[in-house]
Amino acid sequence: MIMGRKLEDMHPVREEFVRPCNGGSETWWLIGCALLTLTICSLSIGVRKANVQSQSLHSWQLNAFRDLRAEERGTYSALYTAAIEIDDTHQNGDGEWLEVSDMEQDFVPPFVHDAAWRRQGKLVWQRKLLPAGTLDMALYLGEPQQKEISGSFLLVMQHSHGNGSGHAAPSTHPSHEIWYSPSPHPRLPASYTDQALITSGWKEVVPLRGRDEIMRTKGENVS
Amino acid sequence: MTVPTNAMGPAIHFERVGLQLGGNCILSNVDFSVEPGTIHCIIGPNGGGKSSLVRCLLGQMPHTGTIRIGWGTGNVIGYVPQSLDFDRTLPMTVKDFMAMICQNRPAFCGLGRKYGPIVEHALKMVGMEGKRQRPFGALSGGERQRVLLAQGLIPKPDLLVLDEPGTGLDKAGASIMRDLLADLKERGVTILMIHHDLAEVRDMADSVTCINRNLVFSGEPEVELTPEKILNVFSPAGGTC
Amino acid sequence: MHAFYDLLRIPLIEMGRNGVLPEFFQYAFVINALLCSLLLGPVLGGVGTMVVTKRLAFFSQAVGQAALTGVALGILLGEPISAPYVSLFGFCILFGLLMNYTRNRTNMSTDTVIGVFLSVSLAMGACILLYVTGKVNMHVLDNILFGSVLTVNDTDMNVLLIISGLCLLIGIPLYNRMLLASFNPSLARVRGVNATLYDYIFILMITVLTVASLKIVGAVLVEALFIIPAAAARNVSRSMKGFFLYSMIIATASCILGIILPMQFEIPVPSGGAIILVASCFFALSVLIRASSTAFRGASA
Repeated sequence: MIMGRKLEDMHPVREEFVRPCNGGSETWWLIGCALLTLTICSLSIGVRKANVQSQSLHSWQLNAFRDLRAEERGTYSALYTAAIEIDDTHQNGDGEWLEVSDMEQDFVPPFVHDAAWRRQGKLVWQRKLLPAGTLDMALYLGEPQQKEISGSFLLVMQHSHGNGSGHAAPSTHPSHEIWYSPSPHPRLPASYTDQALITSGWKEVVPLRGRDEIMRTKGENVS
Repeated sequence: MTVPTNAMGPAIHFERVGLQLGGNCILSNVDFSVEPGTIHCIIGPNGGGKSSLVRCLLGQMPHTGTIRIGWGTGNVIGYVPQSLDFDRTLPMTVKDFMAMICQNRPAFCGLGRKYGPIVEHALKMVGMEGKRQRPFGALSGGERQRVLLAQGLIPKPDLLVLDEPGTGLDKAGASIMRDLLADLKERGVTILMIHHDLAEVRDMADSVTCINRNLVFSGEPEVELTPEKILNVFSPAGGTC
Repeated sequence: MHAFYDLLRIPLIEMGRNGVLPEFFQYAFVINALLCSLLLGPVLGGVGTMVVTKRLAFFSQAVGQAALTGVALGILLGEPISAPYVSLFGFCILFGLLMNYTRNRTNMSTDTVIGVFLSVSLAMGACILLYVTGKVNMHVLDNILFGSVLTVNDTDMNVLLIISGLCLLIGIPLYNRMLLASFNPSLARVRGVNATLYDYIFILMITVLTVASLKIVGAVLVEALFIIPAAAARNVSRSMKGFFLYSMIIATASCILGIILPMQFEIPVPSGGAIILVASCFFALSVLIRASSTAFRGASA
């Protein structure tokens, strides 16, 4: 009471009942948000899968069937097959990388000097070996004698020896890659990592898979 | 007694207020009233439920019973907490701290034109205007308490709730606080305060309530603060639920 | 959007060709990465001040590691390998929400909660990864873990732009309230700040920023970009203004230098690692400055 009068007489009083807080709503909000997130994600993934599966290439990659001339494609296909053989020999033999001269004599395209070789720009091949620690690399560089017909190719064979202990971890680099440069005497970087090759002007050639070819003819592929 | 101004803080009525947390009984059957425009102190032993009662008032606890606030003009609550949980080495000045608490504009933009003078004034009222640029973490406990007091004044409260505001205050700080509270009371603000300095309580308070899980006593300090009652209060045995 | 990006890219590519700028500017992915840095640096630096103030460094690390599981999940669900954003966002958001909920509702210390969630997430990730190993070139994992500047494309930039815009829109007006919520939740509530809600909003902000930055810095190291620039800035600033500004500058500089220096000197390191190393150098410098400068001696309480 203030000076004999109650507060209620002096001012209109607004009564407020203090509401006790209970944290129950937090649980419901969380469940709600979680369900919302799950729903949106499921829908998005579903929509994405139903959409066109576009084969997207990075700017430093080439599509073998679209970006190479017909002659270069021949060299590329041959190199691709040879790479598998080189890899097999390396793994199953004494760990040796096949010599260019050996492959020439064994009629292994694209190293052998046959009619195809003459047509595809007469590339001169050389081999460089880089054993370094657990990494075992061989490079096969092919430079064209007829630069109007073909550019240069680089086959990078890489075999890492780190996985002998029996666990399932795969090696982190594919065993062979094929790179292309339009120049007849391309620059080779000091180290042969992807980044270094790209900076030196090389591009990786990516093959078209059978499934992609089928999708292309069916008009589904938009790459 | 001064003529009441037009501004008037609220009356507060606690009616059979109880609190159970995690199976523990914190408060039981607490029943008292706070008159508008008065300084009302809450005392009691540690762990007796004083802070919890205050937090019930602020609507932050799942209490049972009724808490009624009869607002007069305005409905602003100011709160001065007992402690802050923060990193002492943070490069936050007193100004930054006040900016963070009081304004919408982000603290890293500094004090805006609107709140600059208000913050200045509040800091002056607690005697901290000279320490505006000092890092908040480097302040002493008492200085920090004063800054907390300052933020309780922005915006101008009708009800000011303080939790152990005397912690760490030196003589100068305690005197500043007393003057400040007296000044606020003159303006009609209702002040509810948890305090441990019984001498000050007897001096300042219009009414005092003792809480030790139950209500132990409530009334005017001259009547209630007798030596026997005080001795009983601060004995280890708590009230029953 | 592509046209807009080209507008920025083409003159820079030209300057790269002409020799005005270093050679590697000819490549679009370099310019993409630098543009991302200009956007990401300030945002991460700014949010980093909040992470450090609210002491959530460990929390943001857990979210970063969860990204690994998110990617594995994405691969499992058939998402495009270089941009499994849907499962990344979904998993990381659920992860962050659940972690915060557990922290709020149980009596466990924050440390313990985060430790448990981190371990569970990594275990899940490891299992799923081994299962999908057959499907995918493991190169991709390097990219997600440590960042891959090479693969930043327009989609990534769009994601980053949208996320950064959202975070700025939300973070700047709510900055004060989010900080106050961690100083004293009670006081925050009295002042009308719903501390719980703002905590959740902040967690979501960290989560989406982490995901958006994966391409540049990588999952393992994103939280380092929240923490290290802010920690360095904390050493050399005396007010919130300085703290915030220096944190942004250091974060941006670290990103840009971390991308440019390895290219300039042809050092084959992942961008994430380089960026964090540069940031660490800034941090070391800040420690030196603080230790040797008398201006700061009094401030260490």
